[in-house]
Amino acid sequence: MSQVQLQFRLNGKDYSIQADPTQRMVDLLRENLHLTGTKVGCGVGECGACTVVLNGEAVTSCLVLAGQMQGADILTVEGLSETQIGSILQQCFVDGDAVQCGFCTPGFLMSAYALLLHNPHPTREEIKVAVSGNLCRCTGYVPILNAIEAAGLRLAAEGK
Amino acid sequence: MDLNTIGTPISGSFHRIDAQAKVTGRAEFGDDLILTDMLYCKGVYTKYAHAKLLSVHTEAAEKAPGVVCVVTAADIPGAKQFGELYIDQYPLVYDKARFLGDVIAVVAAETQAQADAAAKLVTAEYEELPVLGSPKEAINNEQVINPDYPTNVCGGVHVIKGDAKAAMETADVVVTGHYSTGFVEHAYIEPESVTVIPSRMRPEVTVLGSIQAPYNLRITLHRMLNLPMARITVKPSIVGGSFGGKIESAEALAVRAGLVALKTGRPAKYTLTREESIQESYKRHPIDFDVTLGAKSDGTLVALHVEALGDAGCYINMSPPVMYKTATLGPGPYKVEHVDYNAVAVLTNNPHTGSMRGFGTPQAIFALENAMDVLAAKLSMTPTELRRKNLLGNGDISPCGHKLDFHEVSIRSVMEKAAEALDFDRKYQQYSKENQDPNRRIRRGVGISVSMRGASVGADGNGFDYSRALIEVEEDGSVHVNIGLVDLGQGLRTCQGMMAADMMGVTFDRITMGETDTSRSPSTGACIASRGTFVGGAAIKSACSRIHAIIAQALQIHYGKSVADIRFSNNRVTFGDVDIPFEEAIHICYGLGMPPMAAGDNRVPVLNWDGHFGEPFYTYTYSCNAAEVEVDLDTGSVYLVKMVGSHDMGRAINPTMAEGQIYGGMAMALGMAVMEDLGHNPKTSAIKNLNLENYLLPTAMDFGETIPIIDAHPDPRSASGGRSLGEPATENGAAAIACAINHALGKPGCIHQLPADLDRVFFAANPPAGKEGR
Repeated sequence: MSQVQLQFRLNGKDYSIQADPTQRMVDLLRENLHLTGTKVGCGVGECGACTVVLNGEAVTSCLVLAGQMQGADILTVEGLSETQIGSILQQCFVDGDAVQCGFCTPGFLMSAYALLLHNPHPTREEIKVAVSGNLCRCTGYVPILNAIEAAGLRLAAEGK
Repeated sequence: MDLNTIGTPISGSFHRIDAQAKVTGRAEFGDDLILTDMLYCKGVYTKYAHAKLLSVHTEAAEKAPGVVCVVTAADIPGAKQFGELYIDQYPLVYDKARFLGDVIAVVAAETQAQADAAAKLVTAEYEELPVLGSPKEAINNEQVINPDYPTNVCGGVHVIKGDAKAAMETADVVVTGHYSTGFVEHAYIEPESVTVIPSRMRPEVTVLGSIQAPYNLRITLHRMLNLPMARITVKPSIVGGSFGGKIESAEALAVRAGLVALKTGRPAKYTLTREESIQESYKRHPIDFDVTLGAKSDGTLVALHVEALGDAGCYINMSPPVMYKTATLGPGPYKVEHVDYNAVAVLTNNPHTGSMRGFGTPQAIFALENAMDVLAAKLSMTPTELRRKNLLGNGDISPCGHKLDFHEVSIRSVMEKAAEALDFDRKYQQYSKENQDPNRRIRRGVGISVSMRGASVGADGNGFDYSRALIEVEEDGSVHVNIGLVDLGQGLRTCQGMMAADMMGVTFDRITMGETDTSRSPSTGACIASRGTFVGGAAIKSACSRIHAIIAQALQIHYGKSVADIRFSNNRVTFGDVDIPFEEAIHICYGLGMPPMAAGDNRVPVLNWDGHFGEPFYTYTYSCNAAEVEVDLDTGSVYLVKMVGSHDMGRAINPTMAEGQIYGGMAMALGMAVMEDLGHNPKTSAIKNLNLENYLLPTAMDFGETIPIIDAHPDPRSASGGRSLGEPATENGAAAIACAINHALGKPGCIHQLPADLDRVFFAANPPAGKEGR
């Protein structure tokens, strides 16, 4: 496939690159830009390991084409620390032992980020719904849900 | 110097040492590795589950854009097969294909897309053979899968204690039942990925990737690629979950990528898609059980007879040791004098089955605990009453003849804590009564299950249950610990670091855990069988003791006085009237040309077990799960309302991480109990559910509350007091959930096949006319 010029904002920086618009977004991130924090677990949008935030919404980047990144504002796990919500989430995941093997972790963080962006004080049920598209085989989910809940509380305490 | 009292008690919940790297996306997993000059591999699968391979045509693929080479079994310079205990697995088909996950050729190209496209151009000619899709069909079939096993039976263990047949005659009540379980996928979220990097200097390779058992992998490459083991370095990347699954699966990839690397002189990466992972990786054994259980009218168990038939699939893999655990741990933590437990594994053309968290026990516990509930109902006892009557205590003889007089046999306390946390006894009575109402379409039920888990490998693994660690104290007093037991996500590295700090007598921040590297960490067996903490701790303790001896000797020379009362604690070294910082003691060692470095080792004592009596394992973890479910009779759906996992793992080195194991174990048990199904077709041996859209895993929405309980009693047989938890955390969960479903249905033992999915539960609740549920 021929290459096109893609322009987008990624983790707070502007990019303009030549890329195949029909490749998967996750491949562009991992292979072209070497941002390997975003993982591939199933390739069919079921496991959520490739979740990134695209224009404020959590999407599975294995089901998004690179062409759809044109003009978009994108956040991946590599950019999380630079955001208030993201850095709080990261700290709460570490503090709450919400990370075991860590392969699903970036996806969960991005789903949680999108949730807290729109709904800074979610209920337990809303958290479950927000991460229902993310699979984890290690933690049994409870520490992850606790960590996201704790992040919501910390955001509230910091006056978000 | 009393080596048994060194250090301070291990304490606290430290953060995982790799958590920060994992929440920032910096942790490097197998497929994250990108090297210049790297080639990408793609496997071509056999077209038939059982067929002689007559020829493979690779010419078209070789000419395709970007392709650098294509390899087949003909390119393997050494042995054509590998395996951990039984050398019978073919990473590339040589003479015949044995299951649909066998690979006939591997294409290597400049990009993954080019390799994928070219792989489609490889063709082959086959001579089809009859497909054996189930153990029952395969036993004594004239079609033989492996000529070394002419009946297709590839191993088994027969536990005989007392005379079960004669004793059964003396029982007041005898129950029988048939139970069966299906294939279960490990479903680590990270599909397998292995990269082999050839040396530019000499025939030598470095292997990275998702690898659970680096030393086993080294043996395999040595045998198949004809490289000296000293020229094979294995450095596992961060592993994205394994659960027993990334042993042989990783080795097959390493052989294939290794052939490419050696042929081209370029690094070769081989990453599986999810479909490929499910197609070719081994699974949990499906096992069929015929259970006969007899008791006196007061509930005292008299005899247990079980015939278990496991599906080994096309390769023996770990089947014999899996059957060992089925037969030796399947009888549960009960006092039962007469046991006849025969577990047999049979070769078929199905996906092969091997190590998976639990290793033959989740299936057996499901069978036994449902039989216990059937028995309880017949005796008009509740599930807890019958179990209380029969649970083991201190000094009792286990069902496999092990006198338990060396530690606290805590299963009673473990069970009571679980029952209390679930409010089991009250709910059991309440739901039994409520469920009498035929108009109640959403029923509730509770189930409870108990188990004892042998820590590490058992008497069947005598001799290879050793561990080693290399510890070096640097000149500044920082401590470098190298141990080859891989962290699979459970937090083993953190645990090992905590134990090392304690045993060395320094604070945790002084410890640096080296990444596993076979060229730096001495071989130590694999991180399997829930042995990582148990045997790893013993090796670390041994190394620390040897280092303390070096330091003591140096200080004796330096100060010229007795160091008989030397102690190492909290970064200080004390003896006599001397009290100096640890780093000063180290400085003295270096000044005398005695830099402290030591390899520690540990061997689990040889266990004597004769099939009747003795020590089938060295020590045990005791566990109980209690579950509460809601069952919708009109849809067959099951919702796990609440579940409690209660465990005595001896000592929780890091309580928070121990709880993490228990939470995860319960979720994995839920999957096995109600939803995970490969869609295996016994006629063709094909798998229908090759990705996670139809091989369903539990999500955060699929259950209510899960509660971990740690009921620890330190074990004198463990260097750290801690035993095992990885497998106990999940092994009896599916049993508890199945028992709860059967309680909700009002028919103990009714669901006798896992998973208890919508169809099975619906038809159990609504038996077709003329066919009453059991």
